[in-house]
Amino acid sequence: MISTSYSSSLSSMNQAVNKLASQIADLQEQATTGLAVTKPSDAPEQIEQIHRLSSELADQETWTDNAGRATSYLDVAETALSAMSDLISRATELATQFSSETYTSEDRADAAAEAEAILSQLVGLANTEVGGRYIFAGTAYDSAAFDDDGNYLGSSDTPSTMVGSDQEVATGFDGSELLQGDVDIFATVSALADLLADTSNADAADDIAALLGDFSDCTDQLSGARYDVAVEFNKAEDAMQLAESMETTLATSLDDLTAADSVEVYTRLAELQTTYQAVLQIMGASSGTNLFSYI
Amino acid sequence: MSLLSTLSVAQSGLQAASSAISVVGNNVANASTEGYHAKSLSTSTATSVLQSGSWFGTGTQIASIARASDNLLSEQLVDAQGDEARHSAASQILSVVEAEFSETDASGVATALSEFFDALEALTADPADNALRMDAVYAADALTASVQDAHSYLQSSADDAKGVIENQISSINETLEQIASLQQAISNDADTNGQGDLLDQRDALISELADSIGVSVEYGEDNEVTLFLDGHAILNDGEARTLSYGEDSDGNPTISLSSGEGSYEVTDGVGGSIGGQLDALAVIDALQSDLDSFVSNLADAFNAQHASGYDANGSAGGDLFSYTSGSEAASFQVSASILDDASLLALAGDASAAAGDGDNLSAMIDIQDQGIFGSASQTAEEFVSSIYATVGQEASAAAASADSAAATASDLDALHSAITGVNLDDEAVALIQWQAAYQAAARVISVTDELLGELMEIAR
Repeated sequence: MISTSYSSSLSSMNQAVNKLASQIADLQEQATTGLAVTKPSDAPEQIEQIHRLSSELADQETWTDNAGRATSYLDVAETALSAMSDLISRATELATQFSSETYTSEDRADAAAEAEAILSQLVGLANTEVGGRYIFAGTAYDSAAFDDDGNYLGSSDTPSTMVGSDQEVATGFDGSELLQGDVDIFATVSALADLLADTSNADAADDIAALLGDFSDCTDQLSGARYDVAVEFNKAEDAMQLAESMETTLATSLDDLTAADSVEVYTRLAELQTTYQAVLQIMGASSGTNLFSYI
Repeated sequence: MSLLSTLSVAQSGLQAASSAISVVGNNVANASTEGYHAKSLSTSTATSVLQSGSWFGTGTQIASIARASDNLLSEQLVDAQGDEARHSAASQILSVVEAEFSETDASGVATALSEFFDALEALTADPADNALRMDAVYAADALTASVQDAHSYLQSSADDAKGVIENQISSINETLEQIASLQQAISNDADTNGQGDLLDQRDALISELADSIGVSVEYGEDNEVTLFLDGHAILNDGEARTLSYGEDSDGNPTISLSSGEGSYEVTDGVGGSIGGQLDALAVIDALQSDLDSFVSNLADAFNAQHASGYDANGSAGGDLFSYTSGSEAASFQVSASILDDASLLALAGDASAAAGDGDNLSAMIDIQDQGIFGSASQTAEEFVSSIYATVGQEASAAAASADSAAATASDLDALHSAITGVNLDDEAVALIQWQAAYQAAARVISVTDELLGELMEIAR
């Protein structure tokens, strides 16, 4: 029969107490941090997945920011193009109005001044900038897209930003393609202004009438530009919604992997604390439990 | 047989009982003494004498004071203690190493790498924005700092472990000398009854050696003992050999055993806490190699791509990162000129590109998805994650092994202690038994005294 020595008995109980104390400390850390995984050895087989999810979560946050930034640029671009459309409509009205010969030279001079003003406003809108960034200057967005005469100064490359793993949206446009592609809106308005100002031209009404087709093309071109901007805007908004949705999904998945189950933690903690107290009581009682106490 | 002889016989009983009670007292006094082996007194019949044609007993005598022992179990226990110390030491060091990779403060390599790529992606929104360029440069600098921190932490852990091993070797040599002295004293002591305490001291020192270097022990006849390390005797016939610490050309610790016949390297056969530290050092070395490999791959990939691009001034890009071959992680840095001037980040695809051109930036971001790291063609983030997973697996496995070895050692210790330790109940029973024997002998003396008195009265 194997008996238990005094020192062995105390030693084994000490080990049991230390082990319980260690387990309790682990659970208390989980209860405090709310995390079941605080170091790689807590779940070494899941670390790569946790890192991947964390990295993807950070990516989504970046893409959300980028998409938000893009939508603000695209919103400004749409506002500028909308204003340009209104100006072209007004210029078209002037052209239609003065394509007949019933107006006096004073009327034509006033209209010429208005056409010049429209041209100036169009150039101003084409040089729309947000925080020093010229929206219609392509990648050369650090300086104005057009000079006062409507000559393009920007780049033919379109700037874009990442809003997804393999997804980019435009954050600016090549103004020459957008506003001077099929028809040059500045040249068309400038031509109207010149014809209205030229009082010596007997055929001015006919020449202005001939411009009406160009104005129609300008309207179509601006509609096309607004469509292009809207497409990019929608892409940016969709990307932002997707990124935000993915953020929620990934955060939930990450939480599932790393978060401690509070009910389980507190239940187990209470259980271990009870056991710990019981072992301490047994240690106290057993230290005086031997035959010497009875003889 | 005379009444006076009876007194002598009873007296021998008194002496035996008194000695036995003394042994019981010593056992009880040492019940909590580490390494103490319980002693037990046994008696034998004293030589009988022939008187008037009959044999008469002359009482009792102390046959021996035996030391409780089980050599086979002791040998197994020494092995188990070495095993426990080895796994425990490795687990402790790896749990400290793991703290650097816990990422609880979001400043580790994995987080810094992810933030670096995020900063590059954020820069796509406006490559001409100097604030975003600076964010990217700071993120790159944070990445290099986190790698250097990790390397420095690992190096510090390795240096600490090496220092501990070197000190332990010196201490082990002293312990071996002490055991040798004790062994010689045991061999020279003709009175085996008095060897118990010497044997306890010797075995306690052997236990210390098992903890520190994981010796194996072989008990021979006449309380002889031989200690082995990696198959070589390090103590035999009361003669100790000397262990020495050194480092190989790679800076890895080596342990050699010197004897008259030469010197043997026994590093691979070392156990105990030194063996555990060597195990942990091997893991640390592998982690440092992984970090070095990560740095060279990442820096080379980025430098090659960065050199293909053009900075904000239209100049060709130079190196984005720098490192020194052979100490990649320790020397990992962002190019000083780029750290000073973020406009030198070569984000454009050609020299004449406009300020917002980010063609080369996109190409650098693509490195994030390139499987150019490790032998498994991993991406940068996958490779770094695998380093963390390795740390976790090694720390977890070491902790599990430590628990398992501790349980085995604890079981063997309980078994060994049950045989060799002091059981207070057993001692109490022995005390009652010898107390009764003493009382009986005393009673015999008392009765004999009465008989002698009556005899005197008759003679008067």
